[in-house]
Amino acid sequence: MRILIIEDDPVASAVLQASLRSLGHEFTVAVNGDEGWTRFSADPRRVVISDWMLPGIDGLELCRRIRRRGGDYTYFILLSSQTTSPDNLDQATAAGVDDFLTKPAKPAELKARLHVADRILHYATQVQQLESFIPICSYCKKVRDDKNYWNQIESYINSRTGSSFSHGVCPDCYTDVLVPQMKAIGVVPPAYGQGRGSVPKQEA
Amino acid sequence: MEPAANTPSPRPSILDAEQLDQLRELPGSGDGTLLDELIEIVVRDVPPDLARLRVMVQQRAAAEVAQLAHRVAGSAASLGAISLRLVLHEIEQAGRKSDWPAADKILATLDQEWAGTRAALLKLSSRPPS
Repeated sequence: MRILIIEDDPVASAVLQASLRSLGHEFTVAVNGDEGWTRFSADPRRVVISDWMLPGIDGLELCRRIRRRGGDYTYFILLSSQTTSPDNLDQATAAGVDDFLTKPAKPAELKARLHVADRILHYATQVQQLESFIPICSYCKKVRDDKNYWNQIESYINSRTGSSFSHGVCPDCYTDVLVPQMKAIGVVPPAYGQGRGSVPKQEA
Repeated sequence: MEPAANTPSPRPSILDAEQLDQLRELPGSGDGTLLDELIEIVVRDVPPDLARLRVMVQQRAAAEVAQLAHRVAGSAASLGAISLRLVLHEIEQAGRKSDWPAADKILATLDQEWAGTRAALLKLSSRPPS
């Protein structure tokens, strides 16, 4: 995996880098929160290991910024700290932290955490790919939503994008559907896009 | 016989053998061992950090004391320097609470604690001290 480390303590950083090297991961390193955010913005890594207490932007603020940018499932954020209390954990979870590392990080523990990160990111990618396929009825063109309900395509798109529809008729449907209907009731169909049809004059 | 209630808890070892064993198994960034690299960083960086910490305590700069003591305690913990970490953690807590009498008292033991830790670390290093 490609990982961004954000750690201001040179010893903790060196230990983390050595552990990641031994596990075969690639990484880049930032030494404070501001540099971490700059590096992430320029080249986002899907796994971020950040210290909690950092000069400048701290680990929690960094986490909030990453979440605002990428949503809940695009990135995996591991927060490292020397101690954690239940209050701290709540605060960190609310900021969007995925998991915690107690410093000094033990290689076996790091390996287990990164294994979980890899699985979650893999599943998240699969879900995103599946969501990019929209199930649509071949006949009526209704679309099935994520709650398994079939919706008119207009309401489906409206609910996801907020877009509204202005209903019209395309040239093909005008010719295939409307023209025969107008003829059937005795209306002379105007050319497509030329306004209302007129009733043909009765022959004497 | 039970120990007396006010018996002081035993002083922890200077270094954590288990942590050091784990560090020995990790690769260094160059030709040397990781442990040698870490000892070099600590021997180089900790004395100026402790000097800054002393000045910050004298200036009663609570947030700065807490932040610096926290970072140096992290370095000590990563290297298994458990007794130094403990002292720095106490200074960090004193800084957070602005408990300056406690900070001054702990600070008085810091140089001795660092001297013991430094000597113990240098014994482990395969590089000559600079």
